Amino acid sequence: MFYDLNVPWTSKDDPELAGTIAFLAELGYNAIALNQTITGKIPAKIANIANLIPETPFPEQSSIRFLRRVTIVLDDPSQNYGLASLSNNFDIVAVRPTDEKLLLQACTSLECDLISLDLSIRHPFHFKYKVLGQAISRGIRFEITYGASINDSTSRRNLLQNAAALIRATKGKGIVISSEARKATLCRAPFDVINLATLWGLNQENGKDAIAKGPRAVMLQAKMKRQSFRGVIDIVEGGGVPKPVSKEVAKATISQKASVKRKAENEESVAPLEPPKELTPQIDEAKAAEEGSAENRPTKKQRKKEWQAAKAAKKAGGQG
Amino acid sequence: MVRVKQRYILFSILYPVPPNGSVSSPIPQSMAFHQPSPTALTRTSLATIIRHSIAHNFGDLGMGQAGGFAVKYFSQATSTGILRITRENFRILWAALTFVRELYGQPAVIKVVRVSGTIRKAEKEALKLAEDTIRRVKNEHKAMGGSKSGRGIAAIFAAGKSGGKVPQKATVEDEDEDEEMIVDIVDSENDDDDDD
Repeated sequence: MFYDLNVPWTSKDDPELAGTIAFLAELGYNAIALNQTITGKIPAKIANIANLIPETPFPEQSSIRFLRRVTIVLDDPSQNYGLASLSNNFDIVAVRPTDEKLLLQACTSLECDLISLDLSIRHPFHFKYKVLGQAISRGIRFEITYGASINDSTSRRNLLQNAAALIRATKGKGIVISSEARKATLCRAPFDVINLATLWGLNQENGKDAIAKGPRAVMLQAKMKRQSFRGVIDIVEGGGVPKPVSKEVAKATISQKASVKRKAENEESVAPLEPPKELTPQIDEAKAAEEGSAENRPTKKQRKKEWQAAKAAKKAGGQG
Repeated sequence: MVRVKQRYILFSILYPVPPNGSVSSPIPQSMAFHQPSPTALTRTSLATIIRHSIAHNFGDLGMGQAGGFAVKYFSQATSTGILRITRENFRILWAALTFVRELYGQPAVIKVVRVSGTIRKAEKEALKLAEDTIRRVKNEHKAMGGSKSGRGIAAIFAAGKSGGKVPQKATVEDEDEDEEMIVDIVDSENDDDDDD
């Protein structure tokens, strides 16, 4: 699975965008995030930012999974960005800090999934592990976009410098590489991108992670933040059809047993000689269930007998 | 004496922008980015373009390290080719290929399909690639069931043949491979006609 987490969204009818998507599919990408960039002053209610991207923007591309992403360009350190509410509308929330202060803020406190620095320009500050490491420990990843560098020589130089610095500062972890391609010509195949990453200072393994596993982690984490309990527990549909009756019975016995055991322990510590009367039937039931299950389970001898009988029957059938 | 270790890079050229004017009927999706290369693109001119890209991106140092590659095979009809380079420097050559943006004024993307230690494996992969492409087009044609796209395919192949001329002769193996590909292409064209 290869991911491209940054394809700028224009409009549904734009032939350039459709061409880019088709070309990315041809190159071997499996998931594409369409990106909506928001610059300037953020409205007071950030949740009001509408998602212009439809759920299934290109139904003819059936092999591709589409994600919807928003990138907020941060340029005012005093503004309070309530980014958490944005994740209701979008699959991935990214920020693009424009100076060192905002980068620190993004790394330490902002509720985003991805930090996307503009690497095609020169930054007047160094990337430090102390700052970037905080973001990595929070599970936020850094994005390197290669699209601009293919078109333009100056931005290629800056990208080489910045990407090398970023990779050095993050020690090769938590990097995501995406295209940010406005034209199909600027897209490159996944393995070509991995090769470029080796020039920037990542090794082959980390380079592959930056285009396959890393973006997947970003996607999943954003999803978990959005719909799970405190970003930790989520309900996943298990495989297969469960048997509702037997499951309930099993659950009941387990919970009963557990509660009985705990209660029994407590009671024992207080009054070990006389078990209370209310508990006895429950204990009996649990015991009976246990015994029943033990009886139902065939012993080794029984199984062997059955198997032999089956074999004999088979033989007889074959002869007949 | 230790043998010099080489890497063989199999690449295919994709054209992200469909040609204007040459094919009137709609091109099937699977073939949209696979086109025959321009006539002017030969093994020597391709080598010049790649050298230029290396010089532009990696300077004299890069030229010294990766300038000594050889174009072992290039087919205009299928837009695939094989390069040979010493093992230490293949990444520089690969990156130079990645940074190529256009060939003779036409936007182009060079995709490296396989890096291999022997030319045999690279050739096998090239054959497989061509077969896969043809199979995909056939399947799509069947799925659509229309004659429109079939004409488009035929037109593409015809353009490839007229533009292809005679493939270069480097080694016996190379020539064999190219002929086999052309045979395949002719087959598929006949199939299309039958379907119509």
